[in-house]
This record gives sequence, structure tokens and C-alpha cells, in this order.
Amino acid sequence: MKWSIGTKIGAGYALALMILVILGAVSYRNTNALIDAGEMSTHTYQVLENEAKVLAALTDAETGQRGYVITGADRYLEPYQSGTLAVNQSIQNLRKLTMDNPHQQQRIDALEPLVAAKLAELKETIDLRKNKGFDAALQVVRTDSGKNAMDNIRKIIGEMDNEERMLLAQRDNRVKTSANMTMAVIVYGIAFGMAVLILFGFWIVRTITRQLRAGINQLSTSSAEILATTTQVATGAAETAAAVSETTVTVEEVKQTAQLSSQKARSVSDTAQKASQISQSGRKSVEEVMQGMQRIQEQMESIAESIVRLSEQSQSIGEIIATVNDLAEQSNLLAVNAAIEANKAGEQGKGFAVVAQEVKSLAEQSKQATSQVRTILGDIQRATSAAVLATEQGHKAVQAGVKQTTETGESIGLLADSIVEAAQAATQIAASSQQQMVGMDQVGLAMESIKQASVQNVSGTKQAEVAAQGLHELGQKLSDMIGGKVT
Amino acid sequence: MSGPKISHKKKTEIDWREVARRMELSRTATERIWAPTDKDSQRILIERAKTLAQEAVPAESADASIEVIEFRLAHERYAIAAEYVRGVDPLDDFTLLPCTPRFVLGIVNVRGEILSVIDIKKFFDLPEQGLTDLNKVIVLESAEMVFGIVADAISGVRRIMRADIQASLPTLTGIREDYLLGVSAERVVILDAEKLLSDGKLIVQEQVGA
Repeated sequence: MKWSIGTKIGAGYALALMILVILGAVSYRNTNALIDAGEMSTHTYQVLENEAKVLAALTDAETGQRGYVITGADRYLEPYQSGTLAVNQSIQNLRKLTMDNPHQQQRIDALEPLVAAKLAELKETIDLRKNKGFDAALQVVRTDSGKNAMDNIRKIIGEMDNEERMLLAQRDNRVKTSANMTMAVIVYGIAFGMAVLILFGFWIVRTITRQLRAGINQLSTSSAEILATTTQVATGAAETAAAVSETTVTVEEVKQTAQLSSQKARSVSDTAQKASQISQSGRKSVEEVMQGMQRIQEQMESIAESIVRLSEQSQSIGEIIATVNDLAEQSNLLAVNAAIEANKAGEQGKGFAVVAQEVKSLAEQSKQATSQVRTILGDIQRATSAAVLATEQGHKAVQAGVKQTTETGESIGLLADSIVEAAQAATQIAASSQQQMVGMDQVGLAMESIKQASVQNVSGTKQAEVAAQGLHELGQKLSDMIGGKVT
Repeated sequence: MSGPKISHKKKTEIDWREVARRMELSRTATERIWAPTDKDSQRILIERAKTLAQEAVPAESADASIEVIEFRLAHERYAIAAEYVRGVDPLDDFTLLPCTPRFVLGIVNVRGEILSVIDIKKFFDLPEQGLTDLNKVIVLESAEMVFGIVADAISGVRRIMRADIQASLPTLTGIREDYLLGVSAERVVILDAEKLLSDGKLIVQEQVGA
């Protein structure tokens, strides 16, 4: 049963209260019973009184009647009148008082006519006395109706009395018994209640103490943990402070670095501008180169034309040389024929033989010359071929040059684009460096606030420490309060 | 004359002025040669006279030497007596004749005359060695016969001392022995023109087998 200490104490008090209430209730009931009994007694006494009053009233009336009968003086009617009045009143009272008792009611029912008869008799007598005198009245008296009535009345009233007294006695017994019981209940109840309360009290105290002890232990442990934690927090705060300092330093460095990179980015941007201009001029140079190549091509073509013409000319020379050679051949033959004729002519032919020899010699020289020319033509042909080849190669070289120049132009274009990109990137870098610095400033501020928070943390920790200390002492106090050792 | 060489592989710079100068020089030289001055003409003529003069010095008796026409045929040097040579002509075109022996090349028109042409190598059954130019015909004439023999080139007219003519070499076959006068000191084979002109084998009957 998980009851809080309050509940337990409450339960203990409730128990005590319950016992008190029970005892009180019992006492109250009994007291009420006693009071009832007392009232009943009073009631009974009232009944008895009323019965007595009835008798007394009747007796008074009778006395008055007798007095009047005897004396005939009105003053002796006083008791009769008062009694007459009183008797009805008393009977009414009786009726009222014994409403709960049917027997008594019956008796009262029996009584009333008798009382009425008696009163009638009395009245009759009185009237008779008044009117007729003493003897008439006496007559009636002697009838003993009055006496009988009175005797019946007395009997009834006596019965009523007895009953009432019996009732009274019964009630008295009952009251006594109940009072005894009450006393017993009170005594035993007190004892029992004491025992129960003591046991309960012990139990409550024990459980409460145990709970308190557990609670105090926990408090102790918790306060120790809190102390440890606060120590850790304090250490952590110290470390945080150190880290914050380092971070602040780093932030400064980063700021400087950002500044540096911003400067560098700006210089890169400037360089990119220059490089862009240079690439522009490079493009122009490329175009000029292309034009130069174009001119070279044209020159190459004109060289080729010249060479072709040269080749054709040398071809013509070759044909001419062939003709010359032919001529030399024929001259040679002619010289031989002339020599033969000269020989046939004998002595006269000697001069002719010399001429023929000269012609032959000339022809041979011609042949030699043509041979040389042919060799030279060969050289020229080779040279022209070489020239043509060179021109072709030059053409190819120019083409390659054009291609390379185009590529160079493209490369320069790409370079220019990259430079533009680089310039843009540099601008972005500069901007982001700016942002970086701003960010770093913010970081610095954040670091400041962290430091502040850390300082607050430390002070808070100190407060926590103090509180923990207080808790610890509280634990001690509580432990003392429950009178046990706290671990 | 040599002109400037255009070379793209040379690393050295071309001195265009030097090139222009050399071209100018060669041009003037060329023109000068085409129109030689009197002094140059005289110089040339004197040189020629000197050259010719040397050849004309040696004197010999008429019988001690013979004049021969030296010619080349298939890289061999032959010679034949000049007195039997009517002339030497270029061999432009010859017409083949059917049903003739192998050594008869054909007929040719020389100055309006139709002559038969013989290849003496084939006649002598010499092995064909190498290519021949066969563009000369030496017209041999005697009282009875006239025909031409082909040659590659005519070396010239020479006088050979009879004393220098040696007997034929043992490498030559019997057939050739008949037609040779001998071999000269320079290993020129001297043919006997008389024998050739009078040889019966050279006469071809132009008769197609019936």
C-alpha cells in the first residue's frame, strides 16, 4: 500500500479519531439513552404526577363537593372548580403523555368515562345541594356511585401508576445496564484504542522513518551527485572558457586569413583583368598570324608557280640540249665521215682531215658540254623537286600552322573564358571573404556570449554547489530528526 | 652554276642578300657567256688550237699504220679499216625482213639508198651481253658488196700501228678468227673488213621456202 506519509499520519489520526468517534458515539448514544431514560423517567414522573394530579384534582373536586355539600358555602367550591378544571387538563396531559402506550390509553379510555361520571356525580350532587339541598345530595352520595367511581378511578389510576412505575423500573434497569455497558465500552475501548493506536503509531513511525531514511539517503546521494556534477560543470566551464579563448584566437586568425584571401582575390581579379586584356591582344596576334599564314600561303603558291615555270623552262632546256646533243652526234658522225673521205683522198685530204678532226673535237666538246648541261639540268630538276617538296612541306607546315594557330586561338579563347570565370570566381571569393569576416565577427560575438553564459554557468554552479551543500545539511538534519545514521 | 638551296630543315638563317648577290653574279656570268667578248673568243680559239695542235704532231709512214674506225658494240670495242667504210650514219629506223637469218636486222634507208643491216654479234654468235643502243650504222663498201653493221657509238677515227696489232686471243672462237685482223694493245678487236665483205654467208637469198 503506497501511502504517503501524510496519508499514514492521517490514517493514524483517522484511526484515533475513529476510536474517539466510536467511543464518543457510544458515549453519546449512552448519554442520549441516559438522557432519554432521564426524560422517560421525567415523563413517567410526569405521568405519575398527572395521575396524582388527576386524583388530587378529583379529590379536590370531591373535597370541594363535600365541603359544599356539607356547608353549602360557595367558597368550598373553589377546590371543586379548580379541580374540575385541572382534572380534564391532567387527563389530556395523561393522554398526551401516554400516547405511546396503548394499555395506558385503554385505561385512560376507561378512565375518562369514570371521571366524567364522577364529575357528573359531583356536579349532580353539587347541583342537588345547590338546588335541593343537602339531603338530596347526600342521597346521591350514598349511592356510592361516586365512591365506586372514585374507587374505580383510583384503581385505574393505581394500575396506571403501577404500570408506570414498572416501566420506570424497567427503564431504570435498562439505563443502568446500558450505563454499565457504556462504562465497559469506554474502558475497554480506551484500552483497546490505546493499544491499536500505539501499534499503529509504531508502525507509522517505522515506515515513515524508513521512507524518510531512504529519502534522506537519496537526498544525500543526490546532493553528492549534484556536488560531483557541479564540480564537473565547473571543470567543464573552465574547459569551455579555455576552448572559447582558443576559438576566439582562431576566429581572429580566420578573420585575418579571410582578409588575406580577400586581398588575394582582389589581386587575382586585377590579374585576371590584365590577363583578359593580354588574351585579347593574344587573339589579335592570332588573327595577325593567320593573316601572315595567309600571306605565306600566297607566297608559297607564287613560289610553286615560279618553280613550275622553272621546271617547264628546264624541260625546254632539256629539249634544246637534246637537240644540241643530237646535233653534236650528227656532227660527230659528220666528222667521222669527213675523216673517212679525207683518208680516201690520201695526201690531198690531210688538210680536210684536220678540219674533220676539229669538227669532231668540237662535236665532242659539244657533247661534253651537253652532258654537263644535262648533269646540271638534273641538278636543277632535283633542286626544283626539292623546292617543290619544300614548298609542299611548307604548305603543309603552313596548314599545320593554321590549324595550330586556330587551336591556339581557341585555346586563347578558352583561356580568356577561364580568366573571365576566374575573375568572377575571384570576385565571389572576395565577397565570400567579406561574408566570412562578417560571419567571423558574429562567431566572435557568439563566443563572447558563450563566455558570458559560461561565467553565469560557473556562478550558477557555485550556487548549485551551495544548494547541494544545503541539501546535504538538510539530509543531516532530517537524519538527526529521525534519529538514525544516514549513510 | 649553282643557285641557292631552299631548305626548310636547315636551322641557319638564309641570308637573302647573299642569295640575291649570288643570283646576280650568275646572271651576269650567264649573259657574258652567251655574248663573249672578243678577248674571250680569242682565248677559246687559242686553247682549241693548242689541243688540236698536239694531236697533229706524230708522223708515221703510210704503211706502218692503218686508219680504222673505232666503235663500240655491247660494251666491246671494235675497229674496222677506214678504207672500206663509206660512211657512218645514224640508225633511225630499220625495217625487219622476214625469212632472213638472225644476224640480219633488216633494211634501212641511208640517204636514199636501201641497205641491209647486220648485227655482227649475232653473226659471230657472240652471247648477247647487256643492252645496246644500236643507233649507228657503219656502211661498209667494197666492189661487190655493200651493207651496214650496227654499232652503239662511234669512238672515232684512229691510226693503229700494224706492229701493235696482236694475234687474236684464244678466247675467241674459230668463226671470229677468220674475220679478225687481231686485237690492239688497248684490247680493241680489229675486224677484217675484206673478209666480211667477201663472205658468202652474208649473202642471203631472198627466197621464201616453197
